[in-house]
Amino acid sequence: MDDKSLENLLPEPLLLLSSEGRVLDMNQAARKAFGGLDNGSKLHDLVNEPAKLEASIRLWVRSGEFLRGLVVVTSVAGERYITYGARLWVDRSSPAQVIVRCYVESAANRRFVEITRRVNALNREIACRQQAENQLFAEKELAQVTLNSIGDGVITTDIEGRVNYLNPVAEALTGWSADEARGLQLIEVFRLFNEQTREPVENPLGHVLVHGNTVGLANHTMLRHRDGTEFAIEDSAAPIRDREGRLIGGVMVFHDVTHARRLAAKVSYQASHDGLTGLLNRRAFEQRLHSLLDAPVGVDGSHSLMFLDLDQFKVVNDTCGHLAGDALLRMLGPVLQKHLRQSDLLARLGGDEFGVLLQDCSVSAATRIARALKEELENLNFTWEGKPFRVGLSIGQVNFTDNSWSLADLLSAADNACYLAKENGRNRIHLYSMDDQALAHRFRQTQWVGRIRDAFEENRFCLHSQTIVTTASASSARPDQEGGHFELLLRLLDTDGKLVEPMAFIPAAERYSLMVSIDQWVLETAFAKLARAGSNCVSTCSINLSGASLGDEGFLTFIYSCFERFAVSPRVICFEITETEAIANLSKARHIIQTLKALGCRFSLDDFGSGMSSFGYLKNLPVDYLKIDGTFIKNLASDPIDRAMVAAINNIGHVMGLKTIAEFVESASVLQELGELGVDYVQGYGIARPEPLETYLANLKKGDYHQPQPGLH
Amino acid sequence: MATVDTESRRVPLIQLDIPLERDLFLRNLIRELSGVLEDIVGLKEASGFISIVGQNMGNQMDLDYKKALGVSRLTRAQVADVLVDLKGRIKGDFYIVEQNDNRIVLGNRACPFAAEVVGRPSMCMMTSNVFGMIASQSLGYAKVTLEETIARGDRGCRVVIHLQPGAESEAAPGQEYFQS
Repeated sequence: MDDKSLENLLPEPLLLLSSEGRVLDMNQAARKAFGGLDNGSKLHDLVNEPAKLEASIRLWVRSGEFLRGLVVVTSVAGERYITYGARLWVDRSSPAQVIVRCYVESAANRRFVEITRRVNALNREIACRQQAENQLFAEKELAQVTLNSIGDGVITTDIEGRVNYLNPVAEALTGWSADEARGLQLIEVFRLFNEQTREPVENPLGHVLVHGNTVGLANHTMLRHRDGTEFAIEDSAAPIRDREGRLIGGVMVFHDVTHARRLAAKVSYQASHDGLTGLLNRRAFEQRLHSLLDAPVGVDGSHSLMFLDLDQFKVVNDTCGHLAGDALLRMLGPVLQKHLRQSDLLARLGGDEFGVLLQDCSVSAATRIARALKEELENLNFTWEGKPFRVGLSIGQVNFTDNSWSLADLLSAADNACYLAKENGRNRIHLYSMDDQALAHRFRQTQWVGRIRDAFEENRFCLHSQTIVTTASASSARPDQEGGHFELLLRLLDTDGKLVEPMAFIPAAERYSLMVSIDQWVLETAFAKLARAGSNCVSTCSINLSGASLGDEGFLTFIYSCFERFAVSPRVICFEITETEAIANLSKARHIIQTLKALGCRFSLDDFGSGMSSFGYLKNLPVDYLKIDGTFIKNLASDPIDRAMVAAINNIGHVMGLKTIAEFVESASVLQELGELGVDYVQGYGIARPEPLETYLANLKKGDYHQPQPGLH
Repeated sequence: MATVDTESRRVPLIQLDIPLERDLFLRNLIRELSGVLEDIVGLKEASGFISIVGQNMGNQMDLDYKKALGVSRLTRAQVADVLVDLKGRIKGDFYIVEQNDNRIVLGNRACPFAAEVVGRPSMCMMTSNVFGMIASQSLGYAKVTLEETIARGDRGCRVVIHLQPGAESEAAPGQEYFQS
């Protein structure tokens, strides 16, 4: 049959047989069903009962109508076909041919096959769905277990805000079980309010369900449990969407931060409050003051700052001990507070000092309050172990109306006013005036005069030394071979045993012409100790000279006498004079330098670079060392300008045949830079910290030269 | 002798008026068989089954008449007579309406299946096949058209046997038969 013929389109097999049952032709369906049945072969091969096929063929040969055959034909796939045959009439002379149509055994069978096919398809579909459902169930279980296990509370709602689900943590925090809460509006179950105002706050899920975006809870949000217990909570609400992105509900995730918030509050309180009195501490007080100064000026922006210093506190402490002092300080808070307004700040600034800030307070009211405070303490009866004490209050008060003050100036003004109140006889109020600053400064310096004199009398000055090493040896941690090279540093041992840095008392000493005496004490003491130690282990001892000594007529004579009295070689002595002092006393400085250099002494120009007028003068000052000002050294590794300055000073020094020294060397990076720049010597905490001169000399004698700081980095 | 008790007397069964005898039994059997066939497999399929039976029987009758007449083929007139005769032998009442080279037309007043044929048109396939078989085997071709049938409710039957394949036979409904 032609491939394109209609017969080939028929789904049922079609055979053309001769009257002997030999296959003459067949369609595609027949070829497919009866594979192996070729043209010319006999249909008998496919039937069980050939006799019945013969009978069938006899019937079909005679019949023009399709008659059902008496046999079934079985396909290669095992399918049984019933046959219908009829004579293909061409003409009387043509040999008989029979057309045989084959149908699947019965309609019922076809239906069965179809039903079976559909049932199988349905079964496969059901199996797929079952598998998907199992997977979904497993995932739901996993999600459920996860939600039940996590430490956060989780509540989900539908799109109307009705509760669908609470996990155990949410149940514990709200007091509602999932079953009870299901179907209720979230606001009934999840009751939020502000920690500070106690007012209900908007439930974030409401916002989520309207706007569809994720939102966090506001700060200070509290959750009220069903039994009234309150929890501090944090976290967020988010929308739930289906696969198409449609909003179908919301989820609230939150956790209990009560403990964390309490802890944070405690830490914050401790950071801003004084542990002893519970009052604000200095830091918090200054912060409030700073905020006030930063705020825009109000219409009546009149404020008052008071520094309070307790008179006679030292007496209480010394006679009854610190416990009594602490008790007195603790008592003061409430006593002072009762005269202050609600908005006023009272802080303990340290020791027996208190600060009061009266914000938006008229001058008259501020004066009244200051008086009330003073009078309160005058009348205070403080007894310790039956012993009564009278205490008073020195108050420095600054009334200010605008924010033109800097914080530092304002604090300094109040401090000075308080200082003057004490200087003026204690237990009084000193109202700040413009002259106070200088006055207080002078008072303080005057005070130092007494303390310096006392220190002389009580022999409380002492000498420390800080080693200076070559840059190369500092880098490689090798000690210098030529002997100890160090700078002498003056310290004052205060009456309380603390070491006082020279910057605290030198300005006063300079002002009251005590510097020459101090220099002389330093020289005598140093020479004596060097002589005692034997100066052969010392290569260079640098001693600072003040401008006053450079200008002092008798200074050279004094130095000569020192060399005479003590066995110290001038060659180990190097005098350090500052750039500014040398320039201020240029002619005398030159004379002294030249004279002492003739003896063999050396000179170092200290703080070089700070004056910035000195390059020209260098030619007139025949010094041996340039000591580069420490302010250029500190940030050398990070500041290209500082680096350029140091490079310039170092180059000029070297051109002039001078050695250069860098002070304030505190890190390995700075040391490395200095090495690269070719600076000769280094000094600073990164190399060695100052130590008592005796200790240093003793180490030198033992041959224990400077030891580079292992911690240098 | 088998008897049955009635109210007052015992009556022999043989004397009972029961509509049962062999001929009637066989006709009823065929009627029930064809009825069941029509109900289960449909009229067309049932007709197909009866056709096979009819063909086989027609084939046997054709052989019997040829043997009895001592011929290998029947003439057209012999065919017409044989058809009327065989129907008469089985209590049919067929008669020749007309006959020529193109067709033989037969009429019938009584069906061999008698009243049992009414409503069973598949049983007419017996007639169609027997007539078609005998005619085609001797005359080469036959197409049997059952124009009227008692089975379909007509008063009598009118059967046309077309003997020539052509426009007339093609236009007529019915089944074709061929010489084997």
